[in-house]
Amino acid sequence: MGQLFSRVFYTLFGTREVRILMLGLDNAGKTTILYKMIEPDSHLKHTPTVGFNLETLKIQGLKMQCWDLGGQDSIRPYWRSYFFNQEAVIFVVDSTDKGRMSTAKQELQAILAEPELQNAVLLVLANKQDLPSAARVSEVSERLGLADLERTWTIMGTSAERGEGLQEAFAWLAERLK
Amino acid sequence: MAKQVVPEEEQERVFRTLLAEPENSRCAECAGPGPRWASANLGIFLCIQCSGLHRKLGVHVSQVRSVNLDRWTAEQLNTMKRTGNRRAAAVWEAQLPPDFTRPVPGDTSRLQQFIWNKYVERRFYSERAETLDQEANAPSIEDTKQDQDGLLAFATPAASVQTGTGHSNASGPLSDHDSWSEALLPLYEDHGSARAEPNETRSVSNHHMHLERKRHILAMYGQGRGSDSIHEASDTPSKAS
Repeated sequence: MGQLFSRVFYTLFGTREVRILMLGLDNAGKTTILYKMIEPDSHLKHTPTVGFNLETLKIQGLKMQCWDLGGQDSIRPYWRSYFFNQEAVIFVVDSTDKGRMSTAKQELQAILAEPELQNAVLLVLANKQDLPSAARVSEVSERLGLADLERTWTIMGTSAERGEGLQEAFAWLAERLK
Repeated sequence: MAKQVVPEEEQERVFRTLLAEPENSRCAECAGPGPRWASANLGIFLCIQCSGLHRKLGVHVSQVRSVNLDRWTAEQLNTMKRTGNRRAAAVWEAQLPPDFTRPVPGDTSRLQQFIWNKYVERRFYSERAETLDQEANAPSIEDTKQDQDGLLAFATPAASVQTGTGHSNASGPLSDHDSWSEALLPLYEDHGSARAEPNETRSVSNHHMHLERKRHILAMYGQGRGSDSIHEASDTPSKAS
């Protein structure tokens, strides 16, 4: 209800602001994606995120408040503290890390089972597509079992390192959230 | 499901012991103090900055985990026990040039170059150091009942030498694909295939690549002797036996 009201309000009176969660296993590329969106020319060397990063992106007149949460094993249980009032989840996968694809699937399923995220739009990013050992987007989709999902979702291939696919991905999200 | 992780207390205990070793009290790359991160397949301890640089190499080269923020499998912990910073350096830094100066903590661009050269280009790598390591410590691997024993044996490799002296034993490096070479030659290891879906052909081809790589390295270094550290290592077993 609150979300509906804010949609109507901002459609009429100005820039809407949405909260977006960026989740995924450690070393998937969440932080690199976030900062590549802010500074396309940056070549930052990201250390593991212990805690979170919070940045606001403006895309298609939409303010996206992006919460990039650390992905290490023992940080993941704290993800749920951030679930309230999130309108979208960006789930980032390291497409080369085939050995942990099933772990990624489990984490994703746990997230999507959360009542607070039932209406959240899901954008899956099959990241690191620039590397030769990367699984194809369709393979990542299959391994994560995305076909069975009953919600608004998509999967896109990205290379955060090269900044490829990011604009398109966030544009897709903005379209769904406007 | 990923492989079974060990109980948290067990993990803590192992890392407390390993990090108490002087060799592991500094980052394997920049020598900065108090590493809390590690490469689970390379078996080395890292500071958080260098762990970030390792993550850039890709998981087929280095699998970075936190000592306390991640949960480890028994296999990963074993790699850490078997390897550690000293042993890894003997292999990966065996051919460092005599005038080499280690990049200092914070010198990101030099560190990144160094780490790339070390693990991807394998510029300083020595196959012979690995082989000697295998021989020198093979007996202690069998003794899996007590970690403490294993650690002590690794800390003083000469003390645990039971096998012969040479580096030319019958089951030499070309024919042997054992746990040691897996621990120390992780570049072509397919860490994924053991799990979700069996993939025989793939692991066979990896094995093949592994052997090819070994031949290549041997050919490269065949004409020259290794660095001083290798001589030192090869001398030790002779004295002990």
